[in-house]
Parts: sequence; C-alpha cells; structure tokens
Amino acid sequence: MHLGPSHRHNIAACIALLLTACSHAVESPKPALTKTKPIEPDLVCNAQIESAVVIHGSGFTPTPVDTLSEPTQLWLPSITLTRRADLEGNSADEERLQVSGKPGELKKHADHNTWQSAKQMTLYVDESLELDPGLYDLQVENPDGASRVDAKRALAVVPPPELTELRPPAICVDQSDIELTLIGKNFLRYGDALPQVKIETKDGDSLKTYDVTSLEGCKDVPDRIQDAKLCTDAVFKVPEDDLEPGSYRVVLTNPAPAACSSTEPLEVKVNPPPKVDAVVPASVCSGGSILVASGQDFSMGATAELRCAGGATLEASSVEVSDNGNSATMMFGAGAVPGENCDVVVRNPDGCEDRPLPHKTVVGTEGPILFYTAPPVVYNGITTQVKLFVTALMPPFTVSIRLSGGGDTTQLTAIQDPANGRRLQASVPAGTAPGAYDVMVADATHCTAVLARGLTVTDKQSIELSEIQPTFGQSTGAQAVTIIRKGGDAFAPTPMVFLSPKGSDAPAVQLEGVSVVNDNTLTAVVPPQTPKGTYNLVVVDPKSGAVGVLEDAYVSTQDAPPVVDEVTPQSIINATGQALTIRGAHFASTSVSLACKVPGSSTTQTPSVNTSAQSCASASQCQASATVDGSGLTEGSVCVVRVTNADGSYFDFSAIGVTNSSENLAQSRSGTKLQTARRALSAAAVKATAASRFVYAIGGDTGPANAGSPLTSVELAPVDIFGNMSAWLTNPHALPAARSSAASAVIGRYIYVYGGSDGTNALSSGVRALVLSPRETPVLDDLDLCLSDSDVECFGKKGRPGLQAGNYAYRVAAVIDGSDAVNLGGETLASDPLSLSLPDIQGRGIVVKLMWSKPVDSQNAALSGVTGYRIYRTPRNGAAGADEVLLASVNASASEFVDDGSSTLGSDKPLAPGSTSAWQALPALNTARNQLRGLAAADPDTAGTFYLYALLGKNSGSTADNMGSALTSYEYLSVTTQANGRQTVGTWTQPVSGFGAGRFNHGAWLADATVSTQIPDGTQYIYVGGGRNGPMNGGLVGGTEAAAIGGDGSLSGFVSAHASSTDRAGFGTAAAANRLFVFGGWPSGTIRDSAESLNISASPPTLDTSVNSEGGLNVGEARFMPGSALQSAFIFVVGGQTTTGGDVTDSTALIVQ
Amino acid sequence: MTEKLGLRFVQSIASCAVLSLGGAHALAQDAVAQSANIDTTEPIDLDRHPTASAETGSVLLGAKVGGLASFNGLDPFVHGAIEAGYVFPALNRGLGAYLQVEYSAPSSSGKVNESFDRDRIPGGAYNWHIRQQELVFAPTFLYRLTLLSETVTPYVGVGPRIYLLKDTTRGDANGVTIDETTERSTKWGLGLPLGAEIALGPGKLIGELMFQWGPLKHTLTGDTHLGGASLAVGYRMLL
Repeated sequence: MHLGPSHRHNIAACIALLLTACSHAVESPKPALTKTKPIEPDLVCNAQIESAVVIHGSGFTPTPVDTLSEPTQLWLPSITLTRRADLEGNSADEERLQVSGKPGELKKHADHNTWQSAKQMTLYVDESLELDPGLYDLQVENPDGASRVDAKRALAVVPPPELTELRPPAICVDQSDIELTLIGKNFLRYGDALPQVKIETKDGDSLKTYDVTSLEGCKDVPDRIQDAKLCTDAVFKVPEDDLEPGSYRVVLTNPAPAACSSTEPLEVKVNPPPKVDAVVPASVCSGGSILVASGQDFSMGATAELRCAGGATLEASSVEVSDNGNSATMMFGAGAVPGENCDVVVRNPDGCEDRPLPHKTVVGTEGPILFYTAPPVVYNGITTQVKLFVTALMPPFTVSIRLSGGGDTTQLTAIQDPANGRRLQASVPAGTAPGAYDVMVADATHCTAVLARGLTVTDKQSIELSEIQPTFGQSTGAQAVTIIRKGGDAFAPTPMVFLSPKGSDAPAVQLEGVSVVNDNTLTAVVPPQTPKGTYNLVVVDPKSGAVGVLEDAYVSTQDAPPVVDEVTPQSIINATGQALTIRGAHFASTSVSLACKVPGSSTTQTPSVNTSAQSCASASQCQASATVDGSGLTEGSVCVVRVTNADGSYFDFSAIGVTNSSENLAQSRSGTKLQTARRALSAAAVKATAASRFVYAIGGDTGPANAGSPLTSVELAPVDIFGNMSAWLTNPHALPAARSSAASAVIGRYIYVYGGSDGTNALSSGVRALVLSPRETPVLDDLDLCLSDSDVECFGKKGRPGLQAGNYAYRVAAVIDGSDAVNLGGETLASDPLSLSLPDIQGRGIVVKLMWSKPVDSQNAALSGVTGYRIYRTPRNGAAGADEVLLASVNASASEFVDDGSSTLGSDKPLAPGSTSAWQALPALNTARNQLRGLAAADPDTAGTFYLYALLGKNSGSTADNMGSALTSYEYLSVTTQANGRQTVGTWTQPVSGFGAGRFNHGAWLADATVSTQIPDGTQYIYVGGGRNGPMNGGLVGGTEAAAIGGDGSLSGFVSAHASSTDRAGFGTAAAANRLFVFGGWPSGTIRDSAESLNISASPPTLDTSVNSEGGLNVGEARFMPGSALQSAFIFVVGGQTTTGGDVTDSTALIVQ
Repeated sequence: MTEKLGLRFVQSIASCAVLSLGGAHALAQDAVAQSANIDTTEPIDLDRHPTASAETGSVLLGAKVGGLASFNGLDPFVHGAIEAGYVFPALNRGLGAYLQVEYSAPSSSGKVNESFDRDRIPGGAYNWHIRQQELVFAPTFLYRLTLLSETVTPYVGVGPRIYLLKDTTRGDANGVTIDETTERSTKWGLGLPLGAEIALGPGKLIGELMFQWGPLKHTLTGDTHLGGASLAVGYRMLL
C-alpha cells in the first residue's frame, strides 16, 4: 500500500489533535485594565470605613464551575494586592493579599470581591483586610488561573489620622477668632480636599465642624491621580463666640476617599476671659511698680500691660498667678508717666483680656527708674559687686532680684555710691541660682523700680584658663596682667575679669582695662588697693555667659614685687657654670630660675640655677648673681629669667639665648612679612612695657630703581616674650620726610632716626618718635546714664534723643600737641574699652555721660602737651575693643563727655598698640651723612644719660658706590632720660679726630658686659667694620676699628680691632654672645644670605684673628642693606635687596642669640 | 481564538475519519482480491462467500448514527460514529477488531441564586450553560455469532475509549453576559457495544446499543464521569 501526501497530512493532523487533547487547559479571555484611572479611588484608608475600589478594564470573566456536580458555583476573577513601597515611595517589606473570587473562600475575603461586568469589578477595602499602609500593586486574575493583568502602585493605603497635641490646648473665643493647630500625623490632603475638625461633647455628640485651613509638614504620596499628601500639622479656626467655655473632644477626619477619623482622646479647653475686680495699689511709679489684680479666671502664664492715656503701652515684666486663679501679681518696669491714667489689662495665655469692660485703671506717679546694671552678667561661683543706675533715689532703699517670670525674691546687700547718689553698689552673693533676673529697687517713695532681666547669673564654666602673668602684684599699685586660655570657649571682646578672694564671700575685684589680644590672650589691670591675699581668677563673657575659673591664680602682696631691668650676658652657653648678673629693683631674698623654650617645640627646659648673691643699694638698684647649669639646654633656646622674692612674687625677664660651646647662634626662623618690601631701611626694636615689645621698619626704598624716591612709611610688628612676631601694621605716623640708609637707635621708648638720604642728597636732619605706652592713656573712671524723654532734662539739657537699646563700648585717647617736646605730638593710645549694654525702656533713649581722668606718666604726672581728647565708640552692638570709631573730639579741659546719640560716628579708629607718637625733628648733624650707622650707649658715669652716635657714612645722597666720599668723622648727641622715661636732647658734637678709615654702608656694633664677659662692667666699645669707601672690589674696606666710650660721650682713640675682618658692605649687625655678627651683605660677587662673626678677644676691644663662618647660619635669603635690630635675646633682620638685579624682599628673619 | 480552536478541532476529526475509512477500504480490497481472485472493483459480502471466508478474514467498515444519553447530567444529544477494522477468519469470522471514532456535543444549563449579603454579581443570580464536545477513539474487540444465522449476526464488543473533551461554559447575570471559558483534556474510559447485523445488500444493517463509562474531573464540570448509553443504527460492510 502506498500512502499519498494527503494521507500523510491527515495522519499528522490526527496525531496533533491527540497531543493537543492530552494537555489539560482552561482558557478564558485575557483581562486588561484601562490606561487612565484603572482603579477608583486610588487611595483608601485601611481602617474604620469600607472603601469600594472600582476596577476598570475588560476581559474580567467569571466562570461557572461544578456545573455537573452540584452545587454549581460562579468563580469571579481574584484580586491580589502586593505592597512593595511605603507611602513615600521607598521600597518596603513585601506583603501580599489575595482577595479570592471563589464564593466559598470567605477567609480569603471573597465577600470583598464583586463583579459588575467584563469591564468592571469592585474591591471593598476595610480593616478586616489588615492592610498595612503603603503603595500596592494590583492584579486581576481570571479563574482560569492563567489570564491576569497587573497595575503597579495602583492603590495607596493610608492609616487613620492620629492626634498628639493641640496648640494651644486652651483657648478663649470670647473676643476673637482663634486659630488652633493640631499636631499629629497622617493628615491627608487629596487634591484640593482637606480634613475637617469636629468638636464633640465628651459624650461624643457633635457640636461643630470646622474646615482645616492649611496643612503643614507634608510629604507626598507619590503616583496618585490627584495630588496626595500626608501631613503633621493641621490648622483650623474657631470663630469668635462659636463655643461656650468648657472642655470638648477634638476629632480630625480626613477627606474622601480615605475619610478615617482620629480616635485619640484629645481635648480643647475653652476658657472664659479673666475678670479683674480690683487692682492695688491704685498708682504705678515711673520707674516701675508691683501691682496686684484680684478677680477670677486668671490663668498661669497670663501677661499684663498698662495702656496709658498718652498712647504708651507698658508690658509687665512678669505676672504671677495664684494657684486658685483669683489673683495676679504684675511687675512693671519703668515707663509710666506721672499723672497719666493707665488701663490695667490682664491677658490670659489663651489671648482673652479681662472682661467686662472698662478695665481697671491706675495713675502714674513719680518714682525712681532703674535702667542699668553693670556688669549685667555675673558668675555664681563668686560674690560680685554690681553697680545699679537709677534716675533718683530716696533712701532708705532696698535692692532685690527675682528670677524673671516669677520666683522667690532675694534681697541684696547694697549701698549708695558715696560719689554718686544715683548709683548703687550691690553684692550678688555666690551661689545665686543661674538665670535671668529682674532687678528691683524700692525706696521711700513706696515705688519699686524694676529692670526686667537686668541681671543674668551664669554657671557655665566653658572657658579653660591656663595662667595669669604675673601671678601677683603689690596691693597698693596697679598691676598689668596677661591671662592665657588653654581651651574651651575662645576669648571674645570683651570679657569681664574678676579676682575673687579665696575662701571669702567678700565681693570680687573687677579688673580694669580688659583687652582681648587674641582668642587665647587677655590683658588687664588689677586695680590699686586690691586687698592683700590670694585670689581665684574668674573670666566672664557677658554675651555668652561663658565662665572660666582659675583657682589660686593671683596674690596681692604687701611688698613691691621684683623688677628686672637687665640680665647679663644676654646669652649663655649650653654648659655648666654659666654666670648671670641680674639688675633691677625690689629684690628681697631673691631666687633665680630659668624657663627655656626649645626652638620649634613646645618643650620647656628648666636648668638648675644657683643664686649666689644679691644686694640692693636702694629699692630700685638691686643686683643678684646666679650660676646656671646649662649643660642640658638645647642650642637656640630662649630662656625667660624669673626672679622670685621670698613672698612668692616674681618677675619674668625676656629673655636670654642659649648657644653651643662655640657660642654659635641657632639657625634663624622666618618672621612675618612686611607690608612693603623695602631695603636701606632703619630697623628698631622697642620694649614698650615688660610684656609688650615691637619691631619697626622705618623708611628705606623699594630697590635700586627707586633709590631716588625713598619711603616715608613706617611699619611695626608686635613680638611676644618668646620672639614670636605678629603681622606687620602701618604705623599711624609716617616719617615727616622720605629717608633711606639712615642711622637709627633706640633709647627707652624713643626711636631716633637720623642722617641718610632723601633720594638725592645726604641728610643732616634727624627725627624721633615715642612708642606709645599702654599705661599712658586716659582712664575711663566712671559713667552716668540718664533716661531721656522730650521733657526730661539729662545732664543739663532737655530733649536729648539718647542712645537706642543695645551694646556699646567707649574708649578715650588724648591728643598731644605736635610741638610738645616731651610727648612729641600725635595721639596717645586709647583707654581700655568701657562696655555697657543699654536696656530698652519703652523705646526711650539713654544718654551716656563718660568721665575720665587725664593720662599720666609712670610718675603719675599728667602728660604734657594734651590739647584735647578723642572719644571713640562702637556702633550699636559692635564689638568692644575692635569696632570703636571716632565719635567726638573735645578740648583738653574736658574730662567728661555726654553722648546723647546725636553725634555721627566717623571712620578713624584708636591707635593700635605699638603705635608711635608723631615724628619730631632732632638737632641737625654737623655733617650730612648717608649710609652711616647709628648706635646708642649709656654714659658710663652718669645714670640716665645716653649718647647717640652717627658713625661715618658718605657725603652723597646717591646709593651709587662711586658717588660721594667716605667720611671718617663721627658725631654724638647727648640724651638725658628723666624719671618718667622722657628724654631731652642736646646738640650733636663732631670731634675733630675721627676713625682711621672712611666707610659707608658699613657695620657698627656696641659691645659691653652684656655682650661679652671679657668686657668689664661699665666699659662700652664701639666697633666699626666692613663697608666701602668707593666702587667695585677695590672700594671694599676691610678691618675693624674700635674705641671706648668716654664719660662725655666722646670716643677714645681708635684702635684696630681686626686687621681684615669682613669685606662685606650693606649688611645687618648684632653684638651678642661675645661676638660681632655680620648678616647678609654684598661683598664681591653675589649678595649673601650667610652670617659671619668675630670673637671679642680676651683683651678687648681687640678681636680674635680668625673669622667665624657661623656654620650654616643664614638669614633666610640673600639680603643687601637690610634693617637689623637687637632687643634682649632677639635679633631681627628685616627686608633687604635679594638679587644683584635689584629685587627687594618683604621677608624678615629672627635669630635668638 | 475560541472559534479557531473549534474549527481546527472539527477539521482534525474529519481528517481522522477520512483517513480511517480510506485506509481500511484499501486494505480490505487488497486482501480479498488476493485470497479469492475476485475482481476487486466490485464489493463482496464475505459472509455470503464461505469459500473465501473460510480461508481469509474480512475488512470491516461501517458508520452509525444515533443518540447519546449521558448519565452525568448532560442533556441527550445526537451521536455519530464511523468504524474500520478487520474480521479474522477464525471461528468463521467470529472475531474481529476495529477502531471506532465517535463525536457528540451534549450540553446542559442552569440557574443559581446566590445568597451573599452583598451581591457578588448583578442581581445576585446567574444563568450558566455548558457544552461538552467529545471526540472518542474507541478500539473495540468484537465477537460475532456467525453460526446462528446467515442473515442475522448478533455481536458483542468491548474496548477502551479515549475521550478528547472540550467543555465550554458561558452565562449571564441579570442580563450581563458572562464570557466563555473553555477547558480541554483527554480522558480514558470503557465501552461495551451490543448489537446485531442484518444482511442487507452488499453489507449489513446494524443496530447497536453501547454502554460507556469514564472518569471526568473538570473545573467546569466538577468531579463526575462520562457514563452514558448510546443507541445507534448503521451499516457495516465486510470486505
């Protein structure tokens, strides 16, 4: 048999049928969801209510089943909800719920599933489904088990709203609409629909329903058909008179389609308005009063105010309500106008004022006004004396304080200031609880002046103090101190500093003249007459309330503490047996010690010191000898020499240096940069006080190309006791005329500059300036305040505007006549800042009257030449000690100034520490000299007499080496120093015989016993060496000449101290560590950055033959014509030309001898 | 989709029938012609040619039509079948075997009133209708009492039944249409035909009562069976 193609086809079809039929399959139409709004609503609540969620689509196919085996059922498509995200759309733990379509599966919520047609089904959501909040995917699956459709995040399920708080919890709607805020969560906004708030009785009866007006703290529920948010704050308003007093339940109901309601038992209390039956007393004083209102329904937290006929409103600083709510004690500050009637208005915290109208009234009457306390912040670890300023006072009086807002009243011990009857002094005892206090002064007028929050008591010890230096002072005199912080809150302008007697409740002594040097350093003055004893140091920041305490920090002594004027030699070798001689005043059973700071390290070494002898010719002329074992000291260290008296008082002398056995100096270190790079400048280092010293850069030029246009500017940089330089500042007084290559010398606080070049000609002129002393300033002794008003006379004048409330600080400086030969003209440093914080007294201005004493010198003599005073003040809320600018100038006869706020602040600022007086002319040299050198030396015979020397130079103002002739002559000028440090000068003397060799751009050194132990006490030698007498290599002058200083300032015959010595010109110099040093300079070839030296021999003034190369010691970079200056242990080398091409540096180098 | 499946199903049944009949016819013609040297272009009743029958078997071809009465609740329905097989020479051609292909499509319908608190469907009640299409392949062993009479030959058979089933339900709820759902599967059963052949013309007129049974567990039908009885008349030829 043969099967044709048709047969084979049939066989295949039959097999296919069999195979198909062997599989068991149920099929129905595939369902689909509409693309827009597949379900409505797309957001439901998971509790309380049943939400019908309609599903739109097609192919929803129920299936009759068990048609041949009873009972027949109709299976509906099942609906599955799967939670994959929380309500913010973040992924969440998956939860799945299938709502069955099989009628028998009630446990699978079949009764929540209904079918309307092939295009619509409905899912009923209620809390039996136990759906957690979140975003759910929805799936519809036909009963065939295979045909299904999904929609992602189709349904958002939100929980009911929850209430946690109602703000305010109590209201009064007697007088206005009241807005309330419900705090909680799950407050729903759906589209434009907001929740409603229902007010119910405690039995649940609905009274009122209010629409929520706004929702806050909302987060989006993403992917909803309408904008949906869940929020935390709901605001609604209760209209005036809409609710009777009582307590009500508050229920918030979300809008459809998730209209669940809160269930928390939150209540709102509707209060009646307070009722005032009477107020006593019937008057209120202009400085403040305590009034008591009696009545009913006063609530805790009530406020009160006086509404006066003149239109002013005076708020009570505090209101205390009795427990039963029937009385309120109200404290009013200053502001009432005598004779004026004022309504007493009590306002409960719910906003309702007392009713019925009219309000009770009181009448204003005259009384004292308390308007300022100083200091406004005190530390409760000490007893602090505060000053209180009142407008009037009728003794007897009491001063008391009470925590603002209510509390017990503490009466303070207080007296009337004998010098000012309107100023009180009260002691705030240690242990007073921290907080803000109202200060009250009651006097015989039966008025109580109140300064609300006038005093703050703090206990916040967040400043860590390290030390105070010195730690003692003679009780009869003022003692300047430096306070160092080691951690905690930084010092900020301007703290108050106190010395609290140890173990005593006596009031603390407030230090004067507090000034913030930087974040870690304060300077201040312990006032005279500080009682003898040991004190704890307390620093209080009045702004932040931060406090620092240092126990046993300061001792006020009976006797004067020691003072050290000089220590010789100025450096020691790091070996045993180093002898020191210390000269000064007030030595009493003195012992000597050293504290040596290792260079580049925080390590301090303390070598053993044997104090061998001491003697005092008079109290101010003492001498002590000591031997130091310096064997353990590090080369280059800076040692502070401490002289300690038997009573523990001491003086720290800064400083002597440490060299190695070869007496080599340690490597230099960089200082701060000049503001103007310069060369051919004059440098000077001045010790203004024991703790404040400065280095100066004076004149010079900016390089060879500008040699014809020298500088007039003067810069200064503060230097601490270890030689650390701060930034350079511009001195307020420039030289009166440009000058370069001038000689300079320092005697005491005077800087002398003479000779040099004006760019064209050699100069014979000279000038000097006085470095201003921080102790020679006016002192702000006192202030007075007056509360201003249009008809109030303040300091002799009515209607002064006064200053607005805020923080202010004042400083006063004296103006010196430019012709004054002692103080040289210009302006003194300003006084320490006097800070005050003016309160707001009803918006009235406060007039400030400053009183100061004239500046005096160290002998308490008034400074000469004072022609007036400049008053500086900060802008409102400016920083004391930093933001003061010129407010006014007054004449010399003035000792007080009234600031009524009418003056305009200028831009001039007080002079910075280290500033100088104006420059005043010196007598002219006999010979104009350029590129000369200057020195100052003490008369070997007459104390207080010094000599300035103008050594050699050339007679041309040109810097070109081939211009002018080298001079061999020298001149000297006698300078007489007075007890107060002031100096007068004679005239220049030019001896007939000069040096053996003419030189310019050379070096000059002064050597005495402080430099070399080979030189006997009282003997001083002047050395000159190096330099030029003409151009090129042939113009370099070798050899060093020396001469001793005679009793009249003249020099002895010159001897050759060294045959060759240096061949450099234009270098820096220093005589230290038994040597004459040369820094930088320009020999033949290139400009040098190195140093070299010559030892003073055992037969001075002869120098040892060999030239010390000084190893690797250099001055940072090549320097030609730098400035150099020596101050105790520190050598400063400043600026200079760095290249033969003419580059000039602004760098500085510091070397410790 | 459903219509396409149904059309394919009918086409497949028709193809199988044609294949069966065509194949059997060709086999029978060839066998008789070879054994009796008879002109195979004409039909031969082998029961009337003992010589040939004594030596050879016969090809069996036939067709039936009748009614099917299901015992599972489906309504009676018309029923048709074709058969093809072979009658062996033994016992005077008393033994045979054939394959019968049957088709029927009984249906049923009903109405259910639901009693839920909330109507799951419109009106809370629905009408349902089910149709069960059956294509049955029934290989059958046959015993024929050929010695009893030359005219009338009673026979009895037995054999398995392979049901190719397709259930289709639909309905409505308060006038809202419930779309169709179908369910397909293959089931096994047992058939027991009792009948008689009466010589008529070149073949035999047959009358047959057949009992059948098979298990059935469909979603749409529930757990039931395929039991029933069919009564058919037809015509059979032994070639």
